[in-house]
Amino acid sequence: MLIEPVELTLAHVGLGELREVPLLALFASAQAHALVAGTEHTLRDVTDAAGAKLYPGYSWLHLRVPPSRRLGQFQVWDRVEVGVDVKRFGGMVLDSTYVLGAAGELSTMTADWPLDALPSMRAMSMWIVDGAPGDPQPSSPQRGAIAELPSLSNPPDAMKRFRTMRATGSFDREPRPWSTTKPVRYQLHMGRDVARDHNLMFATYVEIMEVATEAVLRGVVWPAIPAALLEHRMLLEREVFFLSHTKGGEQVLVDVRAKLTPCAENFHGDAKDMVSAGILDIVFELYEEGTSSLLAIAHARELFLVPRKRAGLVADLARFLPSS
Amino acid sequence: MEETIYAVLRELAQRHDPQLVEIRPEQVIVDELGLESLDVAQLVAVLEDRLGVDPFATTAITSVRTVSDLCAAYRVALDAK
Repeated sequence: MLIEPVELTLAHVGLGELREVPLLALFASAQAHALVAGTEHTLRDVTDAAGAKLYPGYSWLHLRVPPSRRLGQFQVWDRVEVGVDVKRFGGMVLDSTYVLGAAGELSTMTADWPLDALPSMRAMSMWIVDGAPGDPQPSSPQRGAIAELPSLSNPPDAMKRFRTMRATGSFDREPRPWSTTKPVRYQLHMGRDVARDHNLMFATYVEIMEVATEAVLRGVVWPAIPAALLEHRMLLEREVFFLSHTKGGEQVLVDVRAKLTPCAENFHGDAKDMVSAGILDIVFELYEEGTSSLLAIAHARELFLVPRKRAGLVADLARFLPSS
Repeated sequence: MEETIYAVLRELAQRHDPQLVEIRPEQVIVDELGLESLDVAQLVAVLEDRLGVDPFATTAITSVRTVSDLCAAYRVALDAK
C-alpha cells in the first residue's frame, strides 16, 4: 500500500479543476511508484527474464465518483493524497484499489478507505511485453525487478467478468434514444494521442469516449443539447474493459448509446447552489477500423449538475427527459 | 507435477473448446489449445498456488511454446527449490 502526497499543479489540472483523465494518470502514476517501491528501479526498468521491457496494461477499470465529492472540488494547487493498494494474482496479474482524498484524509489501513465517499477506482492489469507485435503478450517481471506484493489466492472477480464481457461484446444491447446510427470516428495521431512504438494508453480511450459522447449529444440528438449544458456534466462512474490494442495512425470507431433519466434535485447532496438535473447513462463499443477488432467496451454515468443561478439550463434539459 | 499442469491446462482450454479431452505434450499452448493472455496469466497463478513455484521470475515465458516446454520449466523450478 502506498499513500502519495501530491500537489495538483498546472500539469494536472491546468488553471481549472481535476478531470477524469488526469485523475486516471494520477492513479496510474501512484501504482507505478508502488510497484517498484523499495527497489532501485523505476517502472521503465522492469523487464522479464529475457530482458524484454514490461508495463502493466489495464484489462479493466471501474472509476467511481460520489456526487458529494465531485472531481471539480479538487482544484489547482490543492494538496491531495493518492492511495493505491496493489495485490498480485500469480506473477502476471495485478489487482488494484485506488482512492483520492484531501491531504491527511486517507488512513494507513486500506480497509478504512471510504471508497464510497471519495473518488476511487478498482482495476485489473497484467504485465505485458512492451512493443510486442500482435496480441498482448503477457510475461512476468524477473525476480527482484518489482516490490514484493501481497498475493491473492483466488482470481480477482474482474477476471471472470472480463471473460463474460469479452464473449458478449457489450454492456447491453438495450435500445437507447440517443444512439449513433453510424460510429463516431476518431483518428489517432502519433504524438498527440499515441507515443511512437507504443499502444494507445488506457486513459486516451476515455478521451475518445468523451469526444464520442459530445458528438452524440451535439449531433445525434435533435434538437441538440444546448452547448452550455455540456460543461455541467460530472462523472459518476465509468467502467471499461480493454480487449485489444491499437496504435497511432489507426482510426477508432465508437458506437454510443445513451439515455437520460430524471433524478432528485438534491441527488448531489446538500449544496444549495447546485441543481441535479438528470443522469446520463451511456454505453460504448470501440473498434479499430482497419481490423474491425473490438478494442474496448465501456459504460459511464454522468450527472447534469447545474448552478442554481443558471436554472434556465435545468428547464432546457427537462425537455429531453422522458417524462416531459 | 505433470498431472497438475495437465489438469489446469485442460480446465482453461475447455473454456474455449468444451469438447477438448486430451492434452498432448507437443501441443502449442496458444495456437492449439487456444489460451489467451488472461488464461496464460491464470495458468501461472494457479500453478504457483498448487506447485509452490513460479518459474517465470527466472525463465522467460516467451520461451515456452508447447505443453512439454511448460512442464520442463516447472520441473527445473521445482528441482531448484
